[in-house]
Amino acid sequence: MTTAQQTAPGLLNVVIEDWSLQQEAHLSNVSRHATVGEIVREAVRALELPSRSPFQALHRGRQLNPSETLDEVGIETDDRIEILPEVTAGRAV
Amino acid sequence: MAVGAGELDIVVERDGTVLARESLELGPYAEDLRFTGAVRGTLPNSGALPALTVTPHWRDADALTAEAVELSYAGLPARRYERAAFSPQASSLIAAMLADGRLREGDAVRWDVVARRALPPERPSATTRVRRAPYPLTRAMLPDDAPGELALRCEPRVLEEIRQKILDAGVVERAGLLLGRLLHDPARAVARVAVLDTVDLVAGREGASAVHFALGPDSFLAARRAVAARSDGLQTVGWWHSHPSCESCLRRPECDSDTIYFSSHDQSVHAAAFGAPYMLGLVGGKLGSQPASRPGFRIYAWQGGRIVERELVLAERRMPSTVPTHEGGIEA
Repeated sequence: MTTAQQTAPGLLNVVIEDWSLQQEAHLSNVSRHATVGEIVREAVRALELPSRSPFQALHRGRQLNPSETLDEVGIETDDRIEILPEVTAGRAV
Repeated sequence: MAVGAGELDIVVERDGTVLARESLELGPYAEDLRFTGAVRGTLPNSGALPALTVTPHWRDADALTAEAVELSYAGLPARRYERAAFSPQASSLIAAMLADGRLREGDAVRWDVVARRALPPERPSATTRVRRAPYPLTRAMLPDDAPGELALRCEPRVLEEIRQKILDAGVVERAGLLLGRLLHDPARAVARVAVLDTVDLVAGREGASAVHFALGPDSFLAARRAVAARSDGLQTVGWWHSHPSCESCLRRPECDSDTIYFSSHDQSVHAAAFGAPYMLGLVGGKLGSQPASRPGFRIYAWQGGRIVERELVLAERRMPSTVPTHEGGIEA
């Protein structure tokens, strides 16, 4: 359970968890104008996930557009975003 | 002299010209070190992330190119990773350069681990803190497992179930999660992954074919719901997928083709979705020594930060009695 922390106006605290639900990145003081893509990249780095693999961000079951800002997609402070890989296995693609 | 974890790069160069550069990703190696510490009892299995010390061993006096990188946690023996340990990331970078045309087939390049050049600081960014769950260790007595390597055991029933799924799918790739337990004998400092069941993975947006199986958010969410709905407490311990034989192989029992290997795409899936150091990757398909009507298997696992083929050992005896030492999940 995350304790809500006060943030300065225009800044958010966001929690990003990976699909295993075994690890999560807590990003503090993120600008509302930061894009979904920017915070996903930061979470991928912090969670030591491979940077070249594509990850989709989901918020309350809705897939987020990486070029939209947190404000545009309606992220509020202490919201949780999940990142899931979109990858392909097999002999060839 | 130690450097920050983000201060080493992998570079690809040709004739002394750097063609590509990206940050050296130490995640799998740090995981290797943390998991080894948890199994040996030298690092507490609390999910806490101690500060990692990264010490490059320079090949030359100019301290520009590393021949090895040493990782350590405070007060614990360091582990040295030779340059070759980072070849998976180099190979992935080179493959990306081939795909986007920066390289062409036949181009002669070399790669190295180098010191990152100092860059001016960007505008202040958000602070980031990571919280992790402990490894889902279940205490057990493992008198037959040797220290030093994660042991693997698979219930024969699980392989038979997967074998039938592969046959039912014909020439189309199929996939699923491997479920089981991560057993730990702290007195002997050994651990074992026991594969006990499987649940299907549904194909993602790009579907499946004879040569691919796409995995997307819906694939992982559906599988996770299926695992959460179980009452047996089994954890996700890996995944499996098939490399099916062609239709002509099915008609020719004498065919000696072999379709089972862990492709670069499979390795990318494993790193992105199954990066915990105890996760397994099972591939089923046509073994050279068996007819296509009886799919065989090979199994792959993390070792020293890399994905390697391991011996697939079947569980022949009753599974050891167990006591969960962690309920799982990230503590508040």
